[in-house]
Amino acid sequence: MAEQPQLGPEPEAVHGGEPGSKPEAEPGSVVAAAFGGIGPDQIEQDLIAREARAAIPRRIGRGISHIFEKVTGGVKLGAERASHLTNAVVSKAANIKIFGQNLKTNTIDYALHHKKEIVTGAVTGAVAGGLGKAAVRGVLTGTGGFLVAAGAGAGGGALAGGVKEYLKQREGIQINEAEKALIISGLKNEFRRIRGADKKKIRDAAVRGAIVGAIGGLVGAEITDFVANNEWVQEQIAKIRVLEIRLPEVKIPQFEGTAPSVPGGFAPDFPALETTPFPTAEVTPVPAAPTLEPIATPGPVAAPTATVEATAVAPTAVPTAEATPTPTVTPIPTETPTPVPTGTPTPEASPGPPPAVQPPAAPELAPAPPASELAAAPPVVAPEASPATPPTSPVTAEPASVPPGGGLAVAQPEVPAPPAELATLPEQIPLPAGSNPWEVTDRYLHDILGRDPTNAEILQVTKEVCRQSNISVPNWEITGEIDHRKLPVNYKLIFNDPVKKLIAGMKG
Amino acid sequence: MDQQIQAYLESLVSEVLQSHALVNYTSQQKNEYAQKLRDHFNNVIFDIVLDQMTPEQLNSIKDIPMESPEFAQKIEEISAQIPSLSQVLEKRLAQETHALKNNPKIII
Repeated sequence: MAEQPQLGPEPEAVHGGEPGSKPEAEPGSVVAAAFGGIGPDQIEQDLIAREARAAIPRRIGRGISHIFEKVTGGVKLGAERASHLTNAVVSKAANIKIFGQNLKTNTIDYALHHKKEIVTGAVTGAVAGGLGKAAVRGVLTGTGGFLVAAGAGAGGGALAGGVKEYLKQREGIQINEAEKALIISGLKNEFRRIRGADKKKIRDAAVRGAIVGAIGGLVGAEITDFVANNEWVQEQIAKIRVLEIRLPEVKIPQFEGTAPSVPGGFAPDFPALETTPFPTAEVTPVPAAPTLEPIATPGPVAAPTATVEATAVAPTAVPTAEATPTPTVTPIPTETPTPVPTGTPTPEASPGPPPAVQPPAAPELAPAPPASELAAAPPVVAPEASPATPPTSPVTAEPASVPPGGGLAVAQPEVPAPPAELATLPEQIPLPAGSNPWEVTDRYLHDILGRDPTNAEILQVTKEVCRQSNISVPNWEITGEIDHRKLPVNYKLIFNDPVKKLIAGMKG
Repeated sequence: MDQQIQAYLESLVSEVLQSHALVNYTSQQKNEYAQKLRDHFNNVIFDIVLDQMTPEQLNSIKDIPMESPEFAQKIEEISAQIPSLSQVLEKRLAQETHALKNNPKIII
C-alpha cells in the first residue's frame, strides 16, 4: 500500500492532546482527519483536477457553438443543443483511431480550444486561401462533412459528396502542371535541406493539421447530421437565409516577388451568396447521445451562447464576432469581393492572371521518392543553395506606406490613439530564447485582446514591431539593421505607440 | 499532441529497426540508421502534404521561408483543409514502414 503522505500535524494534536501541551491544531489537520488522513492539499488538488476535467466538455461545447454559428451563418445553438452536439462529437470520437491511437477528448479539446479557427476553417472549408463558398454551401445543403474525419462515419454518402466538391474545385482551378511540379519540387528540396528543430516543427505542424482537420471533419459531419435532423435549426437558417460563412478572408495585398503569402486574415464581410434553400429533410427525433465517461459532466454543458435564439436577420447584415478591423490594410481594387451571381458556382476572387513563373536557375531536382517507390534508383544529390539573403536594394524610406505590388497608396483610415490601458504596457519586450517576434507578438496580443488573435492580426502587428525594432525582414520588404533570422536572445522588441495604436484598433 | 505524434513515429522507427536485415547492426549503427529513418519519415510526411495541395495552396506557401513560424502555421492550416489527410498519412507511413522492414538499406 502506498505510504500516506505527511499531511499536517500528527493526529493527537487534533484528537485530545492536552490543551497547551502541544501546538494548536492547524485547520488543515482537522480536515485531514475528517477525510481519513487525506489532507487539504490533496483535496484541493483533486478538486482542481476535477474542475479541469469538467472544464473540457464546456470548452468543447463552446468551440462547437462557435463553429456552428459560423457554419449556419449566425444560428446560436443554446446550451442544451450545444451539450447534445458535444456529446455526439465526443462519443463518436471515442471510436476513431488516428495514427494508431483513439481520438481522445483532450485532443478534441486542444483542437477546439487552441486551434479553433483552424478547425472552424476545416469545417467550413473557408479558411484563408481555402476552398470557397461552394464548399460551405455544400455543408449546409447536405453534401456536407466537407472534410472527412477518419472514420467519422456519419453520413458516409454525404461525406463523399463533400470530397467530390473539393476535387471538383481543384479541377476547376487552372492548373499549370509544370508550374505546380516546379513549386513542389522546389519545396521538397528545400525541406530536405533544413535540419533539426525547423524540420520537426514543420512535420509536427503537418500532422497536427491532419489531426485537427480530422476533428474538423468529425465536427462538420456531426453538425451536418444535426442540422439535417433538427427542424428548429433549419427554421433558424431559413430565417437568416444567407447561408454563407463570414470567414473567407480579405486577401491582404498580394505580394510580388519574394514576399510571403499572408497566413490567414479574415474579412469583415463577404459578398452576398446565393440563397440556397435548405433541404426540407425529414425531421426525425435526435437520438440521445451516449454517456461520456469519464469526463462527462452530470449536467448539460453550458455553452456561452446560452439561450439566445436567432431571429430573422437581414440577409447581408449578419454580424460576426470575428470581424477584424484592419485599419492599415489597403485593399487592392481587384481583390474587392464582387457580388456572386445566383445559381452559378462561386469562384474565389482572383487577383488576375498569375505572373509568369521564372524557373530557378538551379537545376531542378527530383525529391527523393519514398522508400516504397524506390527500387534501384541512384541517389540524388541536392546541390547546396545559397541561403536567402536580404535584398541589396536601397532602403526605402517608409515601406509601409507603399502597397506591396505597387499601385496607388490609399489614405489610411484614422487609427485611434492607444487608450490609457495600453499606454501603461511595457514598450520593450526582450526576445526569449528559442522564440521569435511572431510568437512574442502572438502572446502580447492574446494578453491584451483577451482572445486568440487571428493570423492577420499577428502578421500586421509583427510587421510593425519589426519596423519599430529595426529588424530586417526581406520577405516583408522591411528593412532594418538586424536580420530577423539572427536575432540574439533578449533583443528588445519594441511595442511603442505605433504598435499600440494598431492593437487599439483591433481591440475596438 | 506533438508528443503523441513523436511517439507514433518512434513506434514506426522501432518497427523498422527490428527488421531481420538489421540484426547484425551494432547499437551505434542502429542509432545512426534510426536518425536517417526519422528524417526519411519527416520527408515522406511533408511530400504527402505537398502532393495533396492545390495549386492555390502551393502558391500561398512557396515564398514563405521554411524557418519562419508562418510557414509551419500555414502548413498546419492547409493540412487541416485536406480531406482525409490523416488517413492518407497513416496509410503511406505504414507502406513505408513495410517497405523499409523488407529492405532497410534503400535509404542508406
